[in-house]
Amino acid sequence: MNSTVTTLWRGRELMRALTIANLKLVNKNTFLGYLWWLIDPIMMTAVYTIVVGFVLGRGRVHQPYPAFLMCGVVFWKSFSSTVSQSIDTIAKSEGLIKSYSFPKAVLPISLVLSNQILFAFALIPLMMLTLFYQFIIGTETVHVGWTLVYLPLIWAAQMSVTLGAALMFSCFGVFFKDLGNIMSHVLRVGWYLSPGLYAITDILKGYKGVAHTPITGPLCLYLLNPFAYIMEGYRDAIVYGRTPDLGGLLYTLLVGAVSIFLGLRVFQGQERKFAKFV
Amino acid sequence: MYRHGSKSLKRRLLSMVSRELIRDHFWALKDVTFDVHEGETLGIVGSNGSGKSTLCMAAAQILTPDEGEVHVHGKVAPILSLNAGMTRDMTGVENIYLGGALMGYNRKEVKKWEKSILEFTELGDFIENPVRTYSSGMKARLAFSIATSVDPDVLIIDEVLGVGDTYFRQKSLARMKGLMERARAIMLVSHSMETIREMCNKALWLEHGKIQAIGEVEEVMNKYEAWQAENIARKKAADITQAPERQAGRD
Repeated sequence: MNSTVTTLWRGRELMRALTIANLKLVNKNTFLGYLWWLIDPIMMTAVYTIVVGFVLGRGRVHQPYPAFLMCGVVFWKSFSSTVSQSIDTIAKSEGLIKSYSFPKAVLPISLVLSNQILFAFALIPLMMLTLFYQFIIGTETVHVGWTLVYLPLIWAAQMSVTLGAALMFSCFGVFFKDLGNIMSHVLRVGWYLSPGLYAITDILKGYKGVAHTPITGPLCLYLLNPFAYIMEGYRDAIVYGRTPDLGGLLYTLLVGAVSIFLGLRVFQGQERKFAKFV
Repeated sequence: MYRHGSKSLKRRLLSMVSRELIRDHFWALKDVTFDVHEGETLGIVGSNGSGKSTLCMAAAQILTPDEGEVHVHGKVAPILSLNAGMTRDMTGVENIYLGGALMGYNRKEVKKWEKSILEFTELGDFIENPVRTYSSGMKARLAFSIATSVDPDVLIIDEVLGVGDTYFRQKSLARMKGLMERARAIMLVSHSMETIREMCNKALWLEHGKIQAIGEVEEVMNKYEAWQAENIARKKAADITQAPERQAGRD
């Protein structure tokens, strides 16, 4: 394990080069390039606001619904696109893998890094929307303030979970060609299972109709979902000015750390087969 | 110094039609053991499919042997193919930095060499264009320039030199001679007998994944050429029975 970390540390120059290369390619491949990372969250938020907020009328509990939504949307877009891209990142780099000898883990790692930078981009419309609600519309529930200081912690939790997932999926993606299709469905289900459209309290309330029922049975599984604390964390810290669930975030960080450890172990074992299988 | 252990590589063939794992073990190389020391330029010859490319990839530590070991001391600069090492949508300059990083050099080092790399390629303004717009000759020049400018300890070239024109070939041979003088180790795969005779001070003949001959260039080349001549004669003899048919078809 130690040797893997040292190897990766020595490969940090390569990670930097690949991260920059990824970012440049995002811009080159499509006409709008970086702008898609602004437009996509805005559009998704708009769609869900209309469908869930107006048509279904379920947005009233969480004011302002668009800002509430966007926190989940921005995180989920970053996470799900990183996971999908990580599945074929090794296959896409076939040329490089067959031409040079380098620690292959730099491929999913630099993918995660470049996507995190793009995530930062997407935070801009979120901040603007929140400030809009605070100062122009004057929504009472919105308090942008010192709680922003928790952002690095929430972001660290996000990074750890994303990195662990990317390491594992990039490795499995080499051997299981159907993984991409499977994951697109799993991720879609995952979005609806995570508090993107609703808050954790909505689930608890629905159960037995009481907000503070002791947590038992299948609901426990829900609270084990690490994404829950990240999404709610962003909402609390950015929009509502509340301290996020620190215990939950620590739990998420732990889950992330374990997944990174496992991911690196799997990589270590399978890495040498890539050049043959890809 | 660079050294091989006894090694072999195998590839499993997967049958998609019958959806079974056909355990057809194909050993691309078997019992291949040799050393390449500083100052040696090893020429590798053999028919197509003899395992030369696999050997280069194993030497560059891109493929891991299923049995045996590969030991390399120092940095390796491989030129194994024209397209594979470069990212098509990136410019020549961007590929220089990425290639340098992939070989384990940091940005400062590559920046030092950037100018001499660009000069050697003689690509001019084309260096700012994406590599997908390059001809194969241009790609060869860029690949060769990067690999030889970063001052590697081991240089591995797999049949790429054949692509350039005479001028480029002379330039590259001169560069390689420079590396040899600085006591680097070079492995060169080529189908051109003159190149091997001119550049190498040691030769290895590989056929069906096994070493047929290794040692003095003249000795190995003579054995290889003799075998080739025999082979061609034998195949022509087999063809004679079919020749009347073919002629009929042609007219």
